[in-house]
Amino acid sequence: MAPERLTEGGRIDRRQVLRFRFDGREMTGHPGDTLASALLANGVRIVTRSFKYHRPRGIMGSGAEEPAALVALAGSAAQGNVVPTLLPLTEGLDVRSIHGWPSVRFDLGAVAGLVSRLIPAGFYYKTFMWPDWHLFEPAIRKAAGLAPAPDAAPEGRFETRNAHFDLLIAGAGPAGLMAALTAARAGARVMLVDEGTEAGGSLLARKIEIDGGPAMDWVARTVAELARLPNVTHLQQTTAWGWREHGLVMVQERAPGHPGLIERGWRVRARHVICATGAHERMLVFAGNDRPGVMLASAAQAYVNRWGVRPGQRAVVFANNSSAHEVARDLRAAGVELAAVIDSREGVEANDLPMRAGCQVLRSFGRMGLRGVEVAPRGGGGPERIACDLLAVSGGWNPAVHLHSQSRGSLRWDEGIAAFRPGCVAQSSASVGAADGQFGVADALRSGAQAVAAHLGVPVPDVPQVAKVPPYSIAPLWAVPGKGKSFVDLMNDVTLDDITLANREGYGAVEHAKRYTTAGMALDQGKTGNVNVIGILAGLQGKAPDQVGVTTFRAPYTPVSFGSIAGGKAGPSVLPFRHTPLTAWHMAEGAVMYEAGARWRRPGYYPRAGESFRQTVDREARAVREGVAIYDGAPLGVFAIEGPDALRLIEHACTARYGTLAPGMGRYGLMLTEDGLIFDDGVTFRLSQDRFVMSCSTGNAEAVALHLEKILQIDRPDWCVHVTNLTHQWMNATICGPLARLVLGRLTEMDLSTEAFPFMGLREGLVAGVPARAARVSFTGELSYEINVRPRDLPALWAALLKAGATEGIMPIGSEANHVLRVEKGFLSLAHEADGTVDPYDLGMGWAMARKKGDFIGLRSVLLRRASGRPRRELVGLMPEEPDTDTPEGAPITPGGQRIASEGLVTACVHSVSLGRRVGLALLVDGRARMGDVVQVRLPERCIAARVVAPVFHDPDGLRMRG
Amino acid sequence: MAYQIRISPPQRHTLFDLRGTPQALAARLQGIVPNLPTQPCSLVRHGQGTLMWLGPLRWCLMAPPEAEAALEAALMQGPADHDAAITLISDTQAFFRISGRDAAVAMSIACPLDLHPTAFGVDHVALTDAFGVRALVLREGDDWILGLEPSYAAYVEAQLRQIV
Repeated sequence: MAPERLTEGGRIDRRQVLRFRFDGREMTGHPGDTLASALLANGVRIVTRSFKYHRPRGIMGSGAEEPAALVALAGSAAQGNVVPTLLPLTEGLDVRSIHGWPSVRFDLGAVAGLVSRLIPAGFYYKTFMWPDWHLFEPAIRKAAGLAPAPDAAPEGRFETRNAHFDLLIAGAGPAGLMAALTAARAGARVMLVDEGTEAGGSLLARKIEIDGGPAMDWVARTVAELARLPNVTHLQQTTAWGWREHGLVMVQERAPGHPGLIERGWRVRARHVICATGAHERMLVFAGNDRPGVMLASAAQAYVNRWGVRPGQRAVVFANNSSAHEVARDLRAAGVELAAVIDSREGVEANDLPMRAGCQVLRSFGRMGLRGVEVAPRGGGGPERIACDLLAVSGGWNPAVHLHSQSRGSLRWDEGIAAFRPGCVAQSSASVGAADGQFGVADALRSGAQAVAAHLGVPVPDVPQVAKVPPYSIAPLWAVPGKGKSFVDLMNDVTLDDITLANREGYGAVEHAKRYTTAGMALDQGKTGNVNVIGILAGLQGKAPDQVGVTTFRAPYTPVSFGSIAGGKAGPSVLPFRHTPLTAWHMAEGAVMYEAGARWRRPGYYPRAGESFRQTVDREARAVREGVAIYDGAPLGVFAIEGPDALRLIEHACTARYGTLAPGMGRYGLMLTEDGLIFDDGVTFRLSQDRFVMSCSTGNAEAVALHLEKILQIDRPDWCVHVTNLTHQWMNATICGPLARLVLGRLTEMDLSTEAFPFMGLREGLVAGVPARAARVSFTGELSYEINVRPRDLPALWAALLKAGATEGIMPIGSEANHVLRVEKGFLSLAHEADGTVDPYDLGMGWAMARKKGDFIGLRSVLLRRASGRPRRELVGLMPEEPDTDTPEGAPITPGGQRIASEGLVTACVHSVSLGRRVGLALLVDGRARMGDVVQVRLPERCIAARVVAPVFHDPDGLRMRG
Repeated sequence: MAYQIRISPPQRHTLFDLRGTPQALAARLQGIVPNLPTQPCSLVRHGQGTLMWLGPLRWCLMAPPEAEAALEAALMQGPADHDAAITLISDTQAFFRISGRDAAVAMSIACPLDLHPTAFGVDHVALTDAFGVRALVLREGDDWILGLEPSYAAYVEAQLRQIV
């Protein structure tokens, strides 16, 4: 048996032995142990070194409040910064101390303590500023900080569930259990979560009777009843760690007990939340209050009563409140020699205890662990040394208001308990029990039942009887002045001197003091130290604590793995690609795949062996200009619009006029935002008098669908129009190039002649034996047919087109070649030229603005803007003076190439197969009036001269695509 | 204990998008589905057809794949009515059937909606979200039907298989 293990008592199973390692040393524990209790049982006093000064630190707490003793796990369960008080001991656990080199017992980093006067709070704000903070940052980060992240992902997987409940109850102590019981019996859907390994909360560590028997018997009966009810989900080792807006509570289940599952996250939406989160004991602030052997009184009580571990042989209890007296008795009952009970309150009596009322601990001593304390009356008098290896301290209790505060509920100062309690709620909730400052068990049980009964509108049930205990009383003691470091925040190594310095240097506001000193930040989040900081500031400023105020309690309440938040969404599934029916074919052909907007994955180009990128793209572009090619246009947005007001909707949403369209013909138009900027573009075909098909860009299909729905549902509910999104019902393969008609003619009986099927026409019929809608539109500037078919038919159509054009050398092309071809034609591309700042006139597309048809979305804004007469950035072509020089997309154009505000930017630059040189497009201030000028494209290292030309480099009259 | 969940491969059903007034649609559906659902987010079944009420003036008729041609012929016959529009959209959705003892677990991972039987009972249907993708969720006895854009089918199938 481990040396400090008691021979009996506690909630551990001594029949089974679990083996684990700490810094390579073999140790044993039992089921029911936490890592912390097992370490203490094995006599481990120094668990880690502190964050900043590398001071030896031991275990101080017994639960989520543990402020000091973080460890790292190695092996398959590797994790950094694990709170040992929350980690159940398991067989084979491999634990490493952190932040000590070469070991926690002999740490060279402790030299930081010798120069601590040189590195007070905020030292990094005052020093290391010249020549550059980043020069020093790596070394400082290496010297400070916590455990590094593991090198590899843990074995197993994470899962995140969504859940909805009538009530979420956080905490399964007496108040939470009573609340759950009341709600469950009333038939409500209840989720009860608790961070501990078993329910009971404070009852697990105390010797209290409920209904005439051990309190844990009542706990067991209650848990069993809850387990029988189908409307209850009760999870232990599960923490409600964050409360977001709109009732969303983030919950982490650390031991889901499912094969291969490491942790489970829950996104819980509850109609009402009961915060039964208990309370945290405060530290007392005196010199050397961080020495291994100094422990929160409640933790010491928990270790003897719950885990059967003796945290020391000879103890002193130091407190400013009544709760520690029970601890002193329990320590003595467990065989710990009780040297003294130091109560800072005057006149406190307890005849059965070695009480020293009105006294305080001035400092602790001992090199690597506690060997004694120096005690003196508060009113003056000579100090006395008392030998001890355990100092159990209690500075009072803070209701664990974190969850309430995260929901944006307010806090109020309660003088009676010298702590902040929940004030007004911001979301539907109630705080009960110790979380509401009701520290008595009877009060906790009653408040849990009452809160739920009030919320559900059911009678308050009978509450179990609890043996009477003296009421809680406290007289605050915020700090004991003295020589040596007195810590207010052990997690961040923040001392009393740091708080005093912050106040002296003008950072006395509590939010400033927090940032200046880091008190209450990171994992601590104000569990043990914050109220002491507030009390100290209040004393320095002559204010009451409520006048100082509180800082924000932030999520997560305890450390949370990213995995339990992300669940299965990791790697490529974070932003999943969308696939067309041809994606597999493209990839099999060796296409380099691009994300082409709205997560669609499309081929960028199809390289052949020995080809450079440029050779591939040139080959594909030439195929369109000189022969025939096909491309996968599947994701193009398509909408069916029909009804007596269909034309009104289209003309309201788009810039062009469509009323003059004959059935079977289409027209290109733009869609503007309310502020008159280009939102999308596409072609709308008229199928019959009141039936239309509208296309839009790939990346905007969803946005356009929402835009049209918004018009119909909100702006014009009186219009009779029916819009159906057909983006996934009709997908196209586009055949283009001067030989396209010849090849397509082999697959259809449709009359493809210009007369029968002119440019911007749409015809329905069979192509390659499948029903199709063929549209004569062109994004490449060549003769082109979009063959729209059902997606299930697209692979067959694609194969048929390739076969039909084999003798003409038909080839697939990707978006790179398409980009070259559209730049040669000066066709706009969303996110390139239509970058959210331009209107149709800026792009020289005033012809698309059918102003005579009446009002449409964006018209007024366009006209207002243009009426100002201010110069605008306009679309122009660019010819670099050096014909093979690339002007990168996005590169600024600056006056004279100076490093001053730009006058435009390059939107595209490609190698033109028509001209055999690089050409580009740009948005240039007053661009159309500057034809022939030479402008300077500013790169970081040099400028590129380019001549401004018209933004069309191929077939300016469009004869080829119309032919 | 491992989850007991069965996931069918994605499948295409016959689907028609129905838009318009209930009266106009009821007339167009005569002989196919006798009544429209009376509650939003619910459905009625008739023969092989399932008619779902998905939104304001919006319904969806689902049937087995082999019924597509016959249904299309039946629905498209007769004079056009301006108060209703019926559009074939079978290819717009890929459907997964999720069944087994822990099917609800898979759904709770997939979908943020409250799918508890008291909130989302048998024959409830909703256009919602699954794995961050727009989805149609339907409860059919103890099974769940999940309909999504086919472009996301591979991703969603991978997510579902990962749960199992």
